[in-house]
Amino acid sequence: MKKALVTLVALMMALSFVACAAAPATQEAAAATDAATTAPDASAATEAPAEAKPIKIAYTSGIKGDNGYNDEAWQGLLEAAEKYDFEYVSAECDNTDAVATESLIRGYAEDGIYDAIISVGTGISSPISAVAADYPEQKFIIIDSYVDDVPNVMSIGAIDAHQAFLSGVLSGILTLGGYQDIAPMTNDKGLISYCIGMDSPTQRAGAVGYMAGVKYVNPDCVINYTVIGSFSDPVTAKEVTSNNISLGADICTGNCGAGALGILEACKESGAYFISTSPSTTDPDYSICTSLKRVNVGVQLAVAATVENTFESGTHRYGLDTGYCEIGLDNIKIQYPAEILAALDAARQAVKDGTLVLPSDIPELDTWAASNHLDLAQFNVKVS
Amino acid sequence: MQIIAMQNICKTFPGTKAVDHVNFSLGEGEIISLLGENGAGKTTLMNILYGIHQPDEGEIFFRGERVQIKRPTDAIDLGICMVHQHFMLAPAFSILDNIIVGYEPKRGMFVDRRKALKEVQALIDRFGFQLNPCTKVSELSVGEQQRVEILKALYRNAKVLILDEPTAVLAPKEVDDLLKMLQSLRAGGTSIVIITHKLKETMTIADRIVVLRSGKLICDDVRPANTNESELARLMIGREINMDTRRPSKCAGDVALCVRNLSLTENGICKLRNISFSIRKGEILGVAGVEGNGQTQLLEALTGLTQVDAGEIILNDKRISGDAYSFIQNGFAHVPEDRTTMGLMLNLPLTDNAILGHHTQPFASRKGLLRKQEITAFTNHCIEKFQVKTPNCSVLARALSGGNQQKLIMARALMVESEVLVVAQPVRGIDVSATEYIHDQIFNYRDKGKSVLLVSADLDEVYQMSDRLVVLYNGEITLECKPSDYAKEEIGCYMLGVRKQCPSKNEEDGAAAVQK
Amino acid sequence: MRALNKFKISVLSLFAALVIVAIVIWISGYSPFDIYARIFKGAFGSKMSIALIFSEATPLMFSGLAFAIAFKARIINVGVESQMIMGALVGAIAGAYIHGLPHMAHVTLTLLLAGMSGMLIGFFICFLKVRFHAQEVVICIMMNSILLYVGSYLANGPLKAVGAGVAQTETILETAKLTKLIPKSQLTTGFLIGAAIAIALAFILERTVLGYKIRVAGNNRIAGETYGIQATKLYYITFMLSGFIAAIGGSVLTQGVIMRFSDGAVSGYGFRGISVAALAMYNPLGVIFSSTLFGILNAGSQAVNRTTTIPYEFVDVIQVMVVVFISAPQIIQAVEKFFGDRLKKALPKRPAAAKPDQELPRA
Repeated sequence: MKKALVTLVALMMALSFVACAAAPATQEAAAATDAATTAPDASAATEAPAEAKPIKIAYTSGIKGDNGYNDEAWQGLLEAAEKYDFEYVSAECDNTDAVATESLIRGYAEDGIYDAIISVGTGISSPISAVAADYPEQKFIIIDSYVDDVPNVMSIGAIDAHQAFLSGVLSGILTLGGYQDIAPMTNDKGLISYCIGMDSPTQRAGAVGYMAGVKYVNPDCVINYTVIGSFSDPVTAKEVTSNNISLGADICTGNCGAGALGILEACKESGAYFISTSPSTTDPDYSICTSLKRVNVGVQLAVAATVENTFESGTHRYGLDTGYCEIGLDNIKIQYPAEILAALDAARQAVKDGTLVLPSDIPELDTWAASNHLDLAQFNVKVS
Repeated sequence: MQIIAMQNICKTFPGTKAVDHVNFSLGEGEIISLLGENGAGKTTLMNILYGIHQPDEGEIFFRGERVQIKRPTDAIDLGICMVHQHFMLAPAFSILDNIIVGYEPKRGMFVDRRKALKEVQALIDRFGFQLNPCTKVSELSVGEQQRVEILKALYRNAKVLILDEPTAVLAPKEVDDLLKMLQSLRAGGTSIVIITHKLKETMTIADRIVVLRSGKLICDDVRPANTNESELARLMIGREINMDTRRPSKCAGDVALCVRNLSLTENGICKLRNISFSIRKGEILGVAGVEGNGQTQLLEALTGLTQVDAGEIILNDKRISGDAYSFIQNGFAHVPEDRTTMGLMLNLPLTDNAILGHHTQPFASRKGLLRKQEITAFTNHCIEKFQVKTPNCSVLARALSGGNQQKLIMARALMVESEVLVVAQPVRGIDVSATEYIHDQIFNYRDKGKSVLLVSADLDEVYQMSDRLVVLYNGEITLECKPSDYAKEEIGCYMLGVRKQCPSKNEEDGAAAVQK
Repeated sequence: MRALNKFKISVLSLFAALVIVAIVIWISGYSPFDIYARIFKGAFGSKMSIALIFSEATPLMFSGLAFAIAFKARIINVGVESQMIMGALVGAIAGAYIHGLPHMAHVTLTLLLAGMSGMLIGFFICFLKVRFHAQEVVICIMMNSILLYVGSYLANGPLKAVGAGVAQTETILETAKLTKLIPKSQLTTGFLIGAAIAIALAFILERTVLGYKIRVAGNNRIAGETYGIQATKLYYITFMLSGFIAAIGGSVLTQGVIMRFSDGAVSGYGFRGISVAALAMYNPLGVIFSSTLFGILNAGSQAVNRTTTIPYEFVDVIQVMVVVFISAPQIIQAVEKFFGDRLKKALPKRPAAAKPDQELPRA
């Protein structure tokens, strides 16, 4: 027991030593941080110190530097910082680590000085709801995770069907076979390969958006739709895709996590086009477009809700209308002619207007396709 | 001409001054016997010469030139080689590999095995060793392993050969062979240092005797011709010592332990063949034999560590079987042959070591809980009674010297009531005064009317301690006799299998013993 | 004497790690004083941050204890991770699907069921070790992978909560949740359970025949067997005990913080437990303190993460460096000797007088 006590005392001594050594630097450092936290917006804050208390936002995401999701989200915050006047602090943490995520968010909530805590990530609904219940006065806005039943949490996400709808429209046009001059690997067989990771409502909603896009312009096209059963199985994804290509598929896509790499691999081997759901897996030679879910738009929406005081609990889904979902044509070798872009604009406009309502699950697809059709002839789109 | 001169060497280890201003010199072609008790600093001094330790003070000269020996390779480069008490051989490799390791003849970037084999075979032939260089070391006897160690040194062109306790594990015949070989090496110009505390060999072979005591040089110019064993013993220990501790049994009683027809086969090799003997109350039965002739298996059988294929063990008319625990419970006390690997937990305090095997005895635990105070009292009692030198009972067993470790093991075995003591190599590697003390304790135990089975590779010890002895050769008892009936040299012949007692006589003796 | 020496090595290792990481921080262009001050302030700044220290320490304490007890029998249980996942999983199932029990009973039953599941894994690994002489380290690493994927499969498939977007099971019932020691914090009675287990382990090791046998088997298996202590049996007991503790740790995470099993949420604790146990020199009571120390570092690093853009991973480097120094005490001894020798040379030569002065306080 004595030993234990000695240990404790010495530990405390060790730590206080560190603290003492550090003490002179502390204040200076604290001052430095204040500057750091407001960094991108420093001029605004210092110019008008007498104005009403500035809006403060705490931002958390997965670990940055992934050249993908978390960096895009961070970009969104920086973009918002240019548009709006607010101060922010940020932190990052592995989203799968529920314990660390919770204590991180809890730390911000405990500070109690933020107008909103904005958290980005797919697996963070449980930590958020746990913390939100303890801090009912604190507003939380989460992106890509959903908490519906807590009044101080606002969830922002994509309308799943919107993400790949325009990619579907583009695929439908190309697989008609009229554009073999700009996309030589297409054919007129009208077959498309689509893999999803799991048979879940979200996944099916995403798939049906794409399929609806295809059928919208090309009702006769066949989409070979396969459930891989995993989000980390490139081997099966490649197998399935290769098989579809051998049957004549010229465009292969899907939403199956790391399986996308398998799909791309199959396309490279057998000569077919690929559509990814993330710019990080877009291949200039093989991709015809990217089905974007722009988390940076989500972050901007969250910031806007805070700054403009339009916070509203519950789930808010955004699609093509806000630009949250979009078709990405960057980093692609193919140059699309004006008539294709016009057709895409028409489809986008129809969704934005609300004249076109996308189906939400696969069983609805056939009835939907029977009553919704975009006549390509009006844009002079070539058909083989 | 001096090949080595060490001047004013000092080395301090935490708590002890291991070597204290010692001057040491070695001439060309000279054999020096470095005598001293355990802990006298002999090994430390030689380790300094071999580069294992760095001296705190002092200088080393090699052929008159001052040298810095920072590590063993420095020493080997100078031609100084050391054969340690615990051999540094890789058992899984062949003799050849073990000899050439680190000094392989190369052809390009490959080992020139053919050349190596030729060189090693030439060495072997020169000294007339019966060794095949391709044999694996694991298949060799202790004596043979030692020869490999010496060959290794010779292969490295040793001009100075240091042997740490070379005879501790050898049979008398092997000791003779070794001494002869050392003499022939000397004739070839090699200088030799033998670290030992055995007086007899010292008298036989040394040109000069150097005695250390408690890290200090006592004398460095004693010639065997001008001295005798008792004087050497006095120099080593600093007091008179009774060299002949023979104490015959006064009152041998009824048969206590009776072993009948034990047989054991391990891995297809017959280790014990039909072993039968008995020990009476108040009697010490010695088991002599060269190591590896079944002693280990006999010990294991008698302590429950191995299950025999056939035969029975009867203690006081009760048949004993089961594991080590039930043997201990049934009155066997055990002092294992290797104190550090089998006898002690070196990193646990003395208290934990003292109750090993007794941990379920009422004095040590009750209802699964250890009785700390009683255990401490018991340990202190052991320490006191057996004169274990230690600051207190909570130091680690590692901190004790070899002799004190052995005393603790003896104390553990003898402080708790038992009927028969099975003791193996009780004084291996232990200095003279501790040896005397431990032997005394074994006699005292016997004189209380208990039985003792003493197994030792040291024939002198068996001869001196036993009331009756048996010789094990190749798993068989080749001789059973009273020590007084046979000369030591004769017993040596039985140990090496040169002679064998007529089986009928053996049985008669056994039967006679049982009837008595 | 012995304890002091070990303790000295622990403390010096910590200091050496802090110094080295300070240099790394400085080279990276940040102020080490600033970062250390933030860590300290972040850890001890408020009641909540102190709660955070102990809640961060809780899972590390369990995994540290599990590793330490196994190490006492010289078993390298790097499978602590697998046993924690198992415990978290079983805790989530028992917590969510056993209905109608009062709070105390449900919590206890859930913890025990989880613990037993960990025992089962320990038993299985030990069986392979003893029966087939398999290397426990290899099997443990395999078990870690197996359980990782079993957990992932169950959370993605059969046990997936209805309507959940990510791989996680149903939330456990209120009756299975551990009581919070400080409201709004993550600090639960789990910490007390861990501390109680640590004290119980210390008692078992030092005061019981079983603990004695474990120590004997761990220290010198052959000596133990020579005197009738069968190491094999003790390997089983110790491995199962280790698995039991690790799995309770997993369940404490489930019942105290995560409230469900969520894919990937229980990861890394097993390996950090090795560091915790090593820093404590495998002493169960020491684990309470070493895990708390790591809790301080973690809580501090979170503060750094929250308030600055400085990479908080420096804290991980500190933890790793501590382990490096602990596992190679010669480094520390060499450093000590180096400075000791310099000191001796610098001081005027008074060996006879100086020595006893230095020695006395220690004796």
